[in-house]
Amino acid sequence: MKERFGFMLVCLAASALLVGCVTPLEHNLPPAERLLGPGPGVTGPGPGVMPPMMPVGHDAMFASGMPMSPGASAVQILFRRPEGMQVRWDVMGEGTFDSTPLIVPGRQNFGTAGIYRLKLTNIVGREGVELYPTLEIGPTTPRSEAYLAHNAIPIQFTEEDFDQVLSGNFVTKVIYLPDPAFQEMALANVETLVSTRLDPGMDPITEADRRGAILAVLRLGNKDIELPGSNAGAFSSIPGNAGPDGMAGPPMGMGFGGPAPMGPTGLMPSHVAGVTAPEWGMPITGTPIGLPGPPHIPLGGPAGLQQHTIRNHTRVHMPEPTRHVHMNVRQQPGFSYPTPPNRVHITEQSIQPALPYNQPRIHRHEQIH
Amino acid sequence: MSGKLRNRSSFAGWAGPARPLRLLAWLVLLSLCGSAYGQRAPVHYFHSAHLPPGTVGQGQLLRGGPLPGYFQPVEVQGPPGVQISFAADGQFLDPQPAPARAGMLIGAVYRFKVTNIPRREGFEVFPTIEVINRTYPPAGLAEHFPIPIQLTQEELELALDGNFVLRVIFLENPNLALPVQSDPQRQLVYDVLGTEDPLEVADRLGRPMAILRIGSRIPDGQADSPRFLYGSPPLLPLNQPQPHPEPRSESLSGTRTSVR
Repeated sequence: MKERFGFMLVCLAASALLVGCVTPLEHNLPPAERLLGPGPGVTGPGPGVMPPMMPVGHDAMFASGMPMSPGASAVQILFRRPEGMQVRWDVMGEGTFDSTPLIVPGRQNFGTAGIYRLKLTNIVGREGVELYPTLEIGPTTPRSEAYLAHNAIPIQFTEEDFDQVLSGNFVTKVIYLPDPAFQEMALANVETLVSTRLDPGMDPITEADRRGAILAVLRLGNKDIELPGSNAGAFSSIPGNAGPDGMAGPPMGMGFGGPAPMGPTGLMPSHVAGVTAPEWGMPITGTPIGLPGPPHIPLGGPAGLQQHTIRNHTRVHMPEPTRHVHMNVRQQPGFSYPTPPNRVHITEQSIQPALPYNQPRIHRHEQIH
Repeated sequence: MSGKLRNRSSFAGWAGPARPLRLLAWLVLLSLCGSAYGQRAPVHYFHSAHLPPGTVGQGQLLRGGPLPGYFQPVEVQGPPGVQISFAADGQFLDPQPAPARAGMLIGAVYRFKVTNIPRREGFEVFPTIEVINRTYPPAGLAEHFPIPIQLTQEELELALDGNFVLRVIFLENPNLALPVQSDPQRQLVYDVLGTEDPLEVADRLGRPMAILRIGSRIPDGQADSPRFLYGSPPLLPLNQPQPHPEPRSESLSGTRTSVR
């Protein structure tokens, strides 16, 4: 009885092992967005990925027939609230605010990856108050490109924002497109993080970057830019925006008549190899015994820890490259030609003509008279 | 008295080596069994619907097949009274009442204009269509079987309110279709969660054919700019819907099929 039970156990184990009742062999790849980058957690150009797959709106791709996204060069900003407020921005130089006033609600296109100084006037219920917030437009990423090509970034100021600013506080509003893991429905809509509503010490930009793709950052304070003696004036301080005579030159970014940025954005696409992240292949893991890594705790004390062990339990299956490939090629239907001749019989035959082609008899004789 | 004598000890001694052979045969037989369907490795989807417009279609072209240069008929349907304007040669064409038809290249992104929206007169929506696959209708009947793209009143109003609506139109797998009669004028719509990829869900249910994206963005400063129109890819204008050819079952005398 024991032998039969043991035999059955062995058979059961062997069958379970052979028919694949263990974890099936899976070849897991990163998500599609991550595959567009050069490696895990790293975006931007780099090794390992064929770049022509991604139409990110470059003119070269447009010239080659690839679809060109309208959200790659300029984004549309929708100023929603408060209604009736007027918004101006720089066109010819920094601090001029010489644009046509935009009555809220209204739309305006701004170039990507730039910081723009705005001027808010005619705020309903706060007559005489003029605020000068900055609007920082983030770069277009593959995650946000489809949204920006079809939607405008909504910007709105609430009464709470104005109260915070007028009481001397600094308000930072981050508008971001949440990742699928942070949105409940497939209906994508942007969300806003306000610094005054977060816990103390929490950075809204860091938190928004963790949750999704940052579209714009709005910073609002009570500094009066147009006070005499301030840096901003008729002379442009925009890099490359001043003519040789010191007068303001053509604006940058959106072209003549469009908003001129006061500088490039600091919002870089997250984790670009060599820009916002270490070079590809460089370790960034912190070690408690020296560089690279965090400082010793307590700060300034000697490194007491002599050794540490890190175990990597990642399942790695990196097969060797194939050294030799056998290729069996067969075309069907094949080719069938007649066998070329290797022997030729030539018979040359002259047939006597049936008609008399001889010289006429009369021509054979000559008559002499 | 007669009987047979059986040497049990010798029989037991012969059966000893047979057990490993039987066990080995059993193992070899089991080793030939294939894995079950549920034990197959999951499919990895290289593309997702959240990629930039045109990426999925261009990737489809790279896979080969009779896709490049084929104008896939598309029919844009909408609420009553809605006007559709396709874009061609860098500008929007004259509006035509929905349903509007056109032939579109696979892999290109087509911007069109929707006006005269019920309850939202005066507002305009500029969706895009990305055709990512084609149908294989009978010869000469391609215009009778366009890809139907429905613009619902709810989706248009969601887009006007600032939301981004993404819809993946797929060809239903006949093996997965419910065996009940449905209204041909009404599409089956599946709402997916935010954690799911609409393109992946559509691929499980059938064959993804097109991606529709609707938002509230309006043209840039220069009206009908090439960048906003995605370069105005070639558009094949099609005539108004024609009556479908009679089913073969009705043309045969005395035979009629119906599904209830």
